[in-house]
Amino acid sequence: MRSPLALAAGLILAPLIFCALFGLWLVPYDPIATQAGMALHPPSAAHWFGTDQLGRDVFSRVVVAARLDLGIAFVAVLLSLALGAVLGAAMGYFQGWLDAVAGRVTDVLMAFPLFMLAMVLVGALGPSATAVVCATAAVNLPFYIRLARAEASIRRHLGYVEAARVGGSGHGRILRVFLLPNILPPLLVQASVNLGWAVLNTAGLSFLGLGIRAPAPEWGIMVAEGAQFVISGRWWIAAFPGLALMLAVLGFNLLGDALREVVDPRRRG
Amino acid sequence: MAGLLRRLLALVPVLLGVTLASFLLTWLLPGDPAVFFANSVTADAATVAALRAKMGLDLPLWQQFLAYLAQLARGDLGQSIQTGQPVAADLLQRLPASAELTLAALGAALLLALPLGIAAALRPGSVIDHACRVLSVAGVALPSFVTGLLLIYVFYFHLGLAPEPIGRLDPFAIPPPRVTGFLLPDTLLAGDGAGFLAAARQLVLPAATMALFALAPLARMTRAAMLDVLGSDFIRAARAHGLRRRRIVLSYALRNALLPVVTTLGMVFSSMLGANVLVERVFAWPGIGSYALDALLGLDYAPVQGFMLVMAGLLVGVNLLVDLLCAIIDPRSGLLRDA
Amino acid sequence: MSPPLLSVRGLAVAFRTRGGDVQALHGMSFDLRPGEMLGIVGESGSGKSTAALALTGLLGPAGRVTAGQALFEGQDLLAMEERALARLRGAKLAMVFQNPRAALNPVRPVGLQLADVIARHHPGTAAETRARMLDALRRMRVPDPERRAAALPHELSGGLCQRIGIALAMAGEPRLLIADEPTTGLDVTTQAAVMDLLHDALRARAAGSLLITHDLALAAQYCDRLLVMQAGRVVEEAPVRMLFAAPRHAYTARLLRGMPAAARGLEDLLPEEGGLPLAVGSGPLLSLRGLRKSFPLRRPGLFRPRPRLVALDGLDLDIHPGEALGLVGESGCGKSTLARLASRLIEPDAGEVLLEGQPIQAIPPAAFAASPWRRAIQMVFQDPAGSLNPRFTAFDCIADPLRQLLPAEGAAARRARVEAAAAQAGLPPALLPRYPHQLSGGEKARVGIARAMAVEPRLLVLDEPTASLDAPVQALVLRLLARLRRQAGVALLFISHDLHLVRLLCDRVAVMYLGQVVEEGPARQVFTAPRHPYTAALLSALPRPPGAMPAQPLRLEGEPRSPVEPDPGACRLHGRCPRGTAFCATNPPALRPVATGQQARCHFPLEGSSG
Repeated sequence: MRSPLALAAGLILAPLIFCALFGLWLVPYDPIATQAGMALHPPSAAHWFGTDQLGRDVFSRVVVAARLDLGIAFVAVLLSLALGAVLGAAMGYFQGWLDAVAGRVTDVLMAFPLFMLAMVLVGALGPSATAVVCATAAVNLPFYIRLARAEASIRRHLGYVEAARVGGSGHGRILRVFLLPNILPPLLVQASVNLGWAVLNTAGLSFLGLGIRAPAPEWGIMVAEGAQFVISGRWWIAAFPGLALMLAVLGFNLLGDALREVVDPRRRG
Repeated sequence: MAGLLRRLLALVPVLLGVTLASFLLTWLLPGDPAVFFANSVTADAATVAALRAKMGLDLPLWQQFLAYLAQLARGDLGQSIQTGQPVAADLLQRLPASAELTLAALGAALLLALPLGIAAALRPGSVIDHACRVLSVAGVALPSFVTGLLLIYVFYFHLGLAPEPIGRLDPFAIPPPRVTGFLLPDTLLAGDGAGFLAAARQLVLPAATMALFALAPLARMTRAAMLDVLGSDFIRAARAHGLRRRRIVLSYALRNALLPVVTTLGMVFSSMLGANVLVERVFAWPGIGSYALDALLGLDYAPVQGFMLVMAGLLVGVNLLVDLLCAIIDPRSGLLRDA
Repeated sequence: MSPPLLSVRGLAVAFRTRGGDVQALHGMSFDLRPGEMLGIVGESGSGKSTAALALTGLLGPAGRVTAGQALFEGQDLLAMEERALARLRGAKLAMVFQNPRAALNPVRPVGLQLADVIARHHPGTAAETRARMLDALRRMRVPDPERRAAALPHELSGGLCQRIGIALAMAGEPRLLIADEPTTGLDVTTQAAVMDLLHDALRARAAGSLLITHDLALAAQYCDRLLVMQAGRVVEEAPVRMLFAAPRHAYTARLLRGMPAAARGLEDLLPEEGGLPLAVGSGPLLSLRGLRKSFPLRRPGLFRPRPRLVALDGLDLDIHPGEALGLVGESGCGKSTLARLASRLIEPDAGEVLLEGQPIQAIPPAAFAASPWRRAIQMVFQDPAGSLNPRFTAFDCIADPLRQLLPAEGAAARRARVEAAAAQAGLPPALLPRYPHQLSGGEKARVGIARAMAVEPRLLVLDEPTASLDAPVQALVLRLLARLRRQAGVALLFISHDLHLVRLLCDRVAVMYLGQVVEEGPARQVFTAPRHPYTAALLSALPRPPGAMPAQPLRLEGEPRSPVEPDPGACRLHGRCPRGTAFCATNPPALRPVATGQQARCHFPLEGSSG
């Protein structure tokens, strides 16, 4: 399947993931070391993306930050995917009281604007990467639960699930062997789009001063630090981390669209 | 109307759950309110303990929750430490700023997204279609706080078209007498044309930032839904029966395509409420988002609770509105129809 | 002979797909005379519907007419501008669609939709249009037209939706009507009523029509001439009688042979040595006693009780070892609920399921799955595609129940069993490593049968196992089932809406209507001399090819009653039955003997000799 969407997603994501994995050892400057004399230099041959108010190399910081931003997003999405798939599939398959109770809880979670809920959760859990991961995962959980539940309840009356029951399989085995593997593709589509959202969420939180704290290199923090200089025309401090952020989100969204074409070829466009 | 009543009744457990969730979350926030109210971090243990007892903080959690419910029932959202005002008054004062911003952005986004999505679906493969697709893919990827800064850089620093991003009105301007709290209507009511223009100029950039954020999902859904409906059996049948194209597109296709768009609208509104905090921060907009953020950073728990309740209440109300709209568009939902 | 109304020459259509252009029609030619009904028959994918859409200019963006000419009243439909064609559509050239509900705007009351189309062709005031609309509904024998006009499509039955579909097509008084599988998916009695209406409406206007269908018997009953299509080409064209008497093309001959309606016995359908064994007289293998099952529906009002949909209402049935029992009835009669109860996928509200005299509900469901009883009853499901796990190979699909039900066996023994079951089901070993999406519909059906047979059950419950298969494949599956029965001695509970299939395969037949068995007896006897009016109506609604025995004409009035909260005090057929009296309204009949081995649930059964 050579889709232009998949190609574009790959072209955008591959360098970002490369930076996240190896950036730490490849950057020209220490991303944290300050250099008072070098503050607020515009982009040049020595500093491709310029320097910030403390004289740190913006390029090095943008590259190294990929690790934190993408890492948090991956772990958070993986957590909510795993939990949501199992819980949602069980809800859709058994229905009954589990469905009623967990359904109410997801309703309540979804009654809050997501980003606001994440803000308060991080506020409650304290400023750390773990807190951001937990908050992001918790806020997204209802979406995975709903999707997995819907997919499982469509399939619970499908021939192959009933055939498994006639063939002597218990409920646990039906969930594990027949339902979960088959509801995974639509969940993966959701997960890849969600990765983009998780990156935005992480950066948004640290932009507000919640979650990751300075001086850690992180795109949201960098944009926040650069914000005050935009008014005076020193655009590079905020623009480059902003651009990296945009590319990451764009890449994950394109990946989601490409996956959706494979999973559901009917819905193109 | 049984459907509507059922829908309203279903709100009760959700609202109760929302209250419980905001109570529990803020209870988890670090910091001891009694220490704050003792007016000194060095207050002796006895004073703090007495204050804790007075505030009911030594009671079991469920009793605290009941007390909280009783307090809510009186319309009392507690007292802000940072402003020293009742939270309800604080929120009421700041809500119009946020609402004016969000509604302006939503209106602009809808006015652009609907025609764009429809035009794209009617001419697949055309320039408009490609523009719509690019916009809907790229638009979703734009972080609102980055777009906001970009707009400031271009329109304030470079072109000088926009005013300095420092809130709703120039600090030296005299605000109009407060009627609705919305500056645009209030300046008009006061007959203050210059004030209206000044307020509108302040509003353009933050509203554009939010609108860009909402535009992409709306345009994308409009295009997809319209394409889906135009390819459906009943549109083909309507053509076979000789109905005019204008009637088919405007009355048969559009009405069916609006359903998923309205549902998306609810989701877009929800994420706009969240993004409010970011945009208000970028443009120093004095809304409830920045108020809550200051409270959260300052561990001032009552405003956070109040903010959560107001946000959830707004969202629940908007979702109810979305369901009602859906029921008007599609009578099958049974909300407004007797089974 | 009058000049043709429509003259098609060399019509060719291609579809653009991801894999390049696919030619769907290769030069189709035919003439249609005024007032004539021409049948276009063929299996799915033969290009029948493509032709209809090409002629009306409704192919959609992917399809393209690559060659040909279609002269209609002196104009070439294929060369016309979209604007000119749009003026013709609905006015002179109309269409009736398959899946009638999907062809209606789901959010607009059907009366308004009909009024839209009427107003387009007969401009007038709103009151005039409304009067015309109600008149059109009345002509389509829509009961209670004022109320139905305000209904949305999803509130109406498929039959009513298609009556409205015909009214829409006839609104412009067309000269040519194209009906694309107009009754596919409808029940047989509804199909007969809808086809009669369509036929009469066309005759009244002397309009020409094309009937596109996969059902040879249906086409034969209503059409004057038939066009047989295969893989985008017309292979034969002849008047109905001639085609049936002496098919010239080998494909036509094969289609006719695979047609269950024309076959007298299974041997006819596909000749095979040896007859079917007769059921041995012994105690029943499975007994269903007084089974009841209902499903709760949504509350109509906040404080009103939940209505219940009664799927089974005191059902008794015996299946003897080695016998083939056919269960027939229209959609919603409770057939599938019965299948799932007999296979113990669901539990009854009341009544007993006895397996060799043993009440099996006493065993809790979880323990039942692990008990030896589980092996005894296996099931074959309706949709072959949906009944196979997409992530299992054919081998794993068949082996899975063996792993669960015979866990003690080693891998070698299991492989042997899978291969034996596959061979039994006529599935070549080379197909075993394939995944479901790499198999054809018929092959998937075989995997489903092999899976059920692998654990050597005593009873096979088959829920419409051939409903989604083309006729020739259907015939092969039927023959396979007959052979399994002969060789493995397995009893069959064969559930189908197709009476012909049941007649061919089964010794005994039970007819269901709204949750009850209304007639039961030896298959041949019931089909030749039905005693219950409902059975008689079902049989008379069957389309009959030329030469087949004519049935006693009996049409039921109106639409089937809803299975929601039925009146327990009345006969279920009351109100639709031509033999019903006031007595039937207050006295529900019981199942009682009407002839040797034959029972019917009727106070006034038909005479036996008349069939």
